Amino acid sequence: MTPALLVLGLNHERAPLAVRERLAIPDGRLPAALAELRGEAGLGEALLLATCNRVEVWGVERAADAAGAVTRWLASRGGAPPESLADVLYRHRGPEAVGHMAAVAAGLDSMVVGEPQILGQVKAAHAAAAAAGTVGPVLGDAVTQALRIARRVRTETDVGRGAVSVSYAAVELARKIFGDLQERTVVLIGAGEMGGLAARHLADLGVSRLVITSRTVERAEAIARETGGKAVPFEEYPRHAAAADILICAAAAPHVLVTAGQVAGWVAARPRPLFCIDLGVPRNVDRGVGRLADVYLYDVDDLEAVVEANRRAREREVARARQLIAEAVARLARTAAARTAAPTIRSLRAKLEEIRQAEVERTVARLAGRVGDRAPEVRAAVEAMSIALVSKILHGPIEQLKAAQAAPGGARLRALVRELFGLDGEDEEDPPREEPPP
Amino acid sequence: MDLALTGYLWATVQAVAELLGRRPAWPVPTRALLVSAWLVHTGGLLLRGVALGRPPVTGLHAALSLIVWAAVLLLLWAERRYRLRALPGFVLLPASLLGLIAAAAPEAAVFGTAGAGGMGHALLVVLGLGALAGNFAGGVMYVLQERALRRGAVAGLSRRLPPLGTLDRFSFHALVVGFPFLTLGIVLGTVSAARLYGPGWLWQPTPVVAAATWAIYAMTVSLRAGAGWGGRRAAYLALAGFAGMVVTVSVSLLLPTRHVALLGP
Repeated sequence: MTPALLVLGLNHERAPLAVRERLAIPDGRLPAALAELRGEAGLGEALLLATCNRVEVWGVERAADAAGAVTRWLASRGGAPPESLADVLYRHRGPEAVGHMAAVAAGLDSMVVGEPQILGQVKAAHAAAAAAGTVGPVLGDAVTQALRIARRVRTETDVGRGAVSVSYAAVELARKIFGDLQERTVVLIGAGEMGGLAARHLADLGVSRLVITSRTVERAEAIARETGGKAVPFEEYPRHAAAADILICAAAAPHVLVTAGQVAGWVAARPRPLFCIDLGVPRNVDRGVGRLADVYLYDVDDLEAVVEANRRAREREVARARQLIAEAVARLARTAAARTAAPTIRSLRAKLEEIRQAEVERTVARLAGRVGDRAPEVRAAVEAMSIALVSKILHGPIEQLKAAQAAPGGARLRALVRELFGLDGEDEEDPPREEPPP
Repeated sequence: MDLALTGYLWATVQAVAELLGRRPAWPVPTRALLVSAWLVHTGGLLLRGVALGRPPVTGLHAALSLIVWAAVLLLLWAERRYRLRALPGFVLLPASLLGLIAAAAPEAAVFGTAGAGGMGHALLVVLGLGALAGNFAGGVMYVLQERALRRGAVAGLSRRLPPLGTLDRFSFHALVVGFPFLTLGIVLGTVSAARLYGPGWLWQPTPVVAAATWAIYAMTVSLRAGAGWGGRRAAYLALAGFAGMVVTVSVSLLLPTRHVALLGP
C-alpha cells in the first residue's frame, strides 16, 4: 500500500485541559512512546508533538487501521475508552496532513495566534523522533515541507507580527518612535513587576543608559543589577526624567508624579521626542502630557488596546495564511501526482514501442521478396507510418493521464490503463489507496 | 518614455499594494522593475540629448519627464540608504501622475534659447525638486505615522511605515541636499532673467512665488539646524514647503508668463 501520512490529535479548542493533561508525555517517556507507536499502533514512521495546548501524533500508516490503533493507544494512555476520544480527536491524511502540520508550525492553531514558540517545539519534536529513529523519508520530507511553508507564512503574512503582551507593546511603540534604541536613555520610576519587565525588554535591546528609581531602594538596585542599569535616589527622579528618551512610570503613588508643565520644560530644551509609559494605577502622569508636541503618552489601557488591536490583526491574517498554505499544499500534491503518473506513461510507451517494432519486423520480412532492392525505402516508410500511428494513438491517453494526475479520478484512471494494456512491470506504481471504492 | 512610464506605473501599483499590505497578482521585485524602467528612461533622455546637441529640456513634456527621472533616481538611492521600504509608495504615486501629465503634454520644443544660464537653472531646480520631494514624502509619512502612534494603531499602515526617528532624519537630509540646489537654481534663473528683462522681472508671478517658497524652506533649514526643531512641526513645514513648490512649478510652467517666454524660442 502507498505509505499515507496521518495526523491524529487534539488541541486546546477540542479538548479541555483535564483531557490534555492525561495524555501529556514527559520528555523521558518520549522514546518509549514513539517505539510503541511504531509497534502496536501500526505506524511506519512516527513523531509526537506534545505541548501544553496539544497532543498530536504525526506518522505514516503501515497497517490498514493505523488511525484506529493510534486512537486506542492514546485512549489507553489517558485511561479512557477509545470512544470517549471520538469527539475531540481530529484526523488529517495525505496533503491535508502536511497543511495541518504547516498551520500548527506557523502558530495558526495556537491559543495566541502566531506565537513563535510552536515553531521551535515542532523542530524539537522532529529532532527527538529523529534521535529515536522513528522518522523516515516520508515523514521527514513532510515535516521539512511543513516547516518551509510555516516559515513562508510567518514572513509573508502579519500573522506573527505585533506585540501581544503589554510589556512588549511598550517596546514595540518605543521602536516605532525611535527606531534604533541603542542610543536611548530609559528612566524607570517605581520598580514594580510590569515596569521591571518593560525595563528588562528594553535592556535586552541594548539601550545605552537605564536609570531606575524607587522608594524601595532594594528593588531598584535589584533591577539595576539585572539590567546593567543604575539605581538613583527617588528624590532625584525629576532631574533624571528630564534627560529621558523613554520614561516608564510605574510607582505605587496616590497622586500624579509627572506634570504637563514639568514635561513641557524638559522637551523644550531638546530636539528629540519623549516616549512616556504610565503603568501606575492610579496614573502617575498628568494626561495633559500626551497633548504636548513630540511627547507620546500611553497608560495601561492604551497598551492593552494596542495588544488587543495586534491580536485582532493577527486573527485577520489567519485566512490569508491558510490560503497560502492551501496553495503550497496543492503545489506539493501536483508535484507528487506528476511523479505518480510518470511510471504508467513510461510503461505504456515502452509496451507500444515493443509491439510496433515487432510488427515492423514482421511486415518488412513479409514484403522482402516482393520489393527487391527497394527494401530500405519500404522499411523506412513502414517505420515512419508505425511511429506516427503509435504516437497518435498514445497522444490522447497520455494527455488524459497527465491531466487527471492531480484530480480525484487520477489513480483509478492509471489503474484502468495498466489493466487494459497489461502494464505490470518493475516500475509499477502502488495500487491507488486514496480512492476507496464507493 | 512610454516603456519607462509603463514600468513606473507597474512599480507604483506594486508599491502602493505593498504599502496597503496586499500581495499584487504578478509580483515582480519592485526595485528591479524600477531600476529597469529608470535605465530605459535614462537611455531615452541620452538619445534625445545627443540628437538635440544640448540637455533635453525643450518643453513642458521634457521638463516634467526630467523631474520624474530625478525623483526616481533619488528614490532608488534614498530607499537603500535609509531602508525606507514604504518610500516608493509615497514618491511613485505623484511621480507617476507627473509622468502621465508629461505623456499628455505637447512634445514640441518650447524652451528654446534660454542659453546656458537658463539650462543651468532648469537642471538645478529639477535636482532640488527631486530632493525636496523626498523631504515632502518623509513629512507625509511622519504625519501619518505620528497620528497612528497617538491613536495606538500600530497594526495597520503604521507597521509598514518606518519609525518616526528615521523619517525625521531622512526628511532633514533630503532638505539639506535639496535646499542648496533650489537656492542656486533660483539665483541663476533670476540673474539670467534680470539680464534680459531688467529689475522689473522681479515682480513677475514666477519670482514672487519662488521667493515665497524659498523663504519657507530657508525658515525650515534655520529652525531645524539652529533652533533644533524636528518632529511634527518640521514635518508640517515640509508639507507647506512642497505645497509652495507645486504652486511655483505650476505658475512657472503652465501660465503664459515671461518665465516660459524667457525659455522660449
